[in-house]
Amino acid sequence: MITLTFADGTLLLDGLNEHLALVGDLCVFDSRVGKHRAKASHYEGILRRLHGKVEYRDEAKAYSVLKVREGQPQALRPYQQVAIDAWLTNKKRGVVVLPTGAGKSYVALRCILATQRSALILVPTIDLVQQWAGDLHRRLGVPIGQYGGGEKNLQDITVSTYDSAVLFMPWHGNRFGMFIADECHHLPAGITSTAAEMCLAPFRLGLSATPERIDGLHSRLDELIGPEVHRTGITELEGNFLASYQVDVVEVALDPDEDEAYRAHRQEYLTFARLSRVDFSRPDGWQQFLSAAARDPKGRAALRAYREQKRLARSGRGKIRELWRLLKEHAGERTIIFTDDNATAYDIGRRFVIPVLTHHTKSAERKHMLDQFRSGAWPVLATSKVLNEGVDVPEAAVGIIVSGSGSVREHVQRLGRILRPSKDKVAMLYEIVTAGTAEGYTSERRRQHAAFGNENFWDTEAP
Amino acid sequence: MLTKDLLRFKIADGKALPSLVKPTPAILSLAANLLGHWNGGVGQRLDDLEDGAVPILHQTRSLLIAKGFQKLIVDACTFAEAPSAGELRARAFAVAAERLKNPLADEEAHRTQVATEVGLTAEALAEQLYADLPGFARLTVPSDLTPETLIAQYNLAQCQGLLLTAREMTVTVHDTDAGVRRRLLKALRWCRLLADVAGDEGKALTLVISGPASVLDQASRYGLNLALFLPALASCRRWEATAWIRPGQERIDQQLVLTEELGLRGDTRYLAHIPQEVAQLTKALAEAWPEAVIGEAPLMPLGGGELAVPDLEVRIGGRTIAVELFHRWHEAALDRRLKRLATPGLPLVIGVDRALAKRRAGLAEHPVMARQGFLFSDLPTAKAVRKAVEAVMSA
Repeated sequence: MITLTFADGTLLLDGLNEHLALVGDLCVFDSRVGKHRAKASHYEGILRRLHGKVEYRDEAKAYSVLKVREGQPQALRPYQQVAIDAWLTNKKRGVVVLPTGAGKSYVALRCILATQRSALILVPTIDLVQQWAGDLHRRLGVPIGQYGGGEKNLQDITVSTYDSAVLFMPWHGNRFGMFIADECHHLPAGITSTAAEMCLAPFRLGLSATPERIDGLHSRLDELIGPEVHRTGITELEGNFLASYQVDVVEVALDPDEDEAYRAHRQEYLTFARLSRVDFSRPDGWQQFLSAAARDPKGRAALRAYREQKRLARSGRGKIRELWRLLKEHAGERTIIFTDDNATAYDIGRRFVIPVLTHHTKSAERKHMLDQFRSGAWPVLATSKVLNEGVDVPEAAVGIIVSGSGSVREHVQRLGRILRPSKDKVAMLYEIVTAGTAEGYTSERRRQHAAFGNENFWDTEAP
Repeated sequence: MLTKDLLRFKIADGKALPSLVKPTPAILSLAANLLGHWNGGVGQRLDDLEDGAVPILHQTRSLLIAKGFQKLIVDACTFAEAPSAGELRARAFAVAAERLKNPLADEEAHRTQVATEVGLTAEALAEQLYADLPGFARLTVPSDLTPETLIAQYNLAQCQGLLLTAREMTVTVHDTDAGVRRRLLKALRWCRLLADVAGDEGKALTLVISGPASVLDQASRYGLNLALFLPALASCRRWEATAWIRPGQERIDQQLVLTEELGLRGDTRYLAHIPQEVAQLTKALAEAWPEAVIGEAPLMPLGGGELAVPDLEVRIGGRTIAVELFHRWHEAALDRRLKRLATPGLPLVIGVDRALAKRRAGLAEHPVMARQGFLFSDLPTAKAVRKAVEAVMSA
């Protein structure tokens, strides 16, 4: 008889020798333990082939059948119903692509209810762990486990960060029958993919607004989760299920002394790069520059010059004046200020005396900040990256990008933060760009998406 | 450990060579200066200490070495978090939110007004509002490193950093001391690694080390475990290790060869360490069974490339019986051992923790357990071990 056990994030198959032809392509013999070994993610495939053909004992599976119900079910929007149907038709495996704000997490909840198996939801940030856990608890009325940010609580339905899941999967990868990857474009990257491989869940759902990756690794989603089963674009929902929106790029100038300093610093670092034969057009151009800078005292000065010119472009006085003007114009409206780095976010926080939410913000305080923001008590919030993805702040109507990378994904996600619909809402996304600096180019790159009137979507990261 | 950007290595003929540092007067001076700066900074803020270290970092010709030293020093220091500014923030944000409903003409006037309402100057408010960020943590206990130990740790960390991209490592240990080998294999288990015994010729033990899933694909997912194992390996007297790694941006396979000749200083705690429960059991057995000699057991080849790593052995009446303990986390190893012991004749007694036995229905009645096994709760008793050993001897 064949025995399947779960061991360190893999499956061990004992007694397979006579029946190797059935599943030989999914496992290899591991001489270190004298058994065949397979990826845990092949569990369903292996069982499917063994079932009815050979006697086997399944000691690997440790997940439960649930009996959970939604307290007050809400009506599905038509595109949500279509997405769920497509996922069910594909044997409960696959990726659903919906714009931010379109209710992806509710699609996931209905998929959990349709499956009724212990479920693990992976999300990229601690804020999202808290948000998902709170939302699921409110709707289902059962304890929800949380992993990440110091929490280590496993329940039949558990929400975890990707990073924590990579660490606990060798122990708990057999505890879940359903695997949900929110913002699933994170999943194929490097070691993160092992979170999916070490889990034996037969039922898998991926959610993203922007699954495509510049490194092409999104093709691995098929193997880790399943094929794309549904896609609805942002422009199909605008004005109906998403708020109408306007995007406004506001150019500001550097003050004369800043302009002079900017040009001098830029000249210094570019001259060093040229003399050191650094080629910024190569993928490793930035690494070349850092290596050259570390070897040479002039290089260290060049590195300082690089940072200073970037700081001036990111947070010159003109940007601060324009930011204040916009806050006055939208006084009383829920506004999120986005920056590219923590230093600028905290600088703005100190200047305007407003809450700043970064990865340094402790769990209890970040929850308090978001609650106060949602209630309108603290209507303005500054953040660098942590609110880019997923966090639900439906009341936000104004986004102001003080600085950002060239990433299309980041830009679309930031727009998504303000698109939750409400009556007569027209969301405003401002980009404050310093004219005559490299920021203009960065801004153009991040707007290569249908959401900004450009169909040639491809994600790019700024150097 | 060092981050990727702090690694120094050369590539030549398909081999990666870690650039280790020697304790030259200049390097010793750099290490001493940095340690002096940080050791003298008790009570100061992390940000201020980092700023103060900049001139020392820039005195050296190799900034990368200096930054690596500083990383290891900071990792070895203890900091106290700054007192929370949460209460001030809550008050200030509430006031600012009110003011933002009808904003003043400029942000300076806004800040000044909010500061006045919370009883501070604008400058003090800006200074104190986020004064509990990590950079405000204060040094409480400096590292106990010396310039020499810092250099030794740096060299070990360079090699560990390169191993992070390895998926397996072939190790040959020339130490013949059975205790060293036994504890080395224990260290492997501790690092959640598995080994294939490629050769055990008495004088040299060769192991191919990797993680459970490494047989399934080429993903380099056990580099951290291999890096954590290196201090144990480097504690052996004569050893060599070969691994394929992918350093740098190009991520092209390069061979990394490490030997005792590099002078890496391991962590001898790994190999000198005898688990407390084994030490206690050895002592209790020696007292309760004076005619027996209780000692460390050599590795026991089981065939098929597998080795048992007994915890101790009992020598009496010209016979030697090894004792191997299985704790709650040794389920897979216990499976293999039960299977191997199904054929009688191996001079081995196994002890199984009741916590593990509970998870395996019928274990207590298993023929192997009846013939040459015993159960224990947390710590085996001398009586139980003696009874099982005597049963094997009389069989």
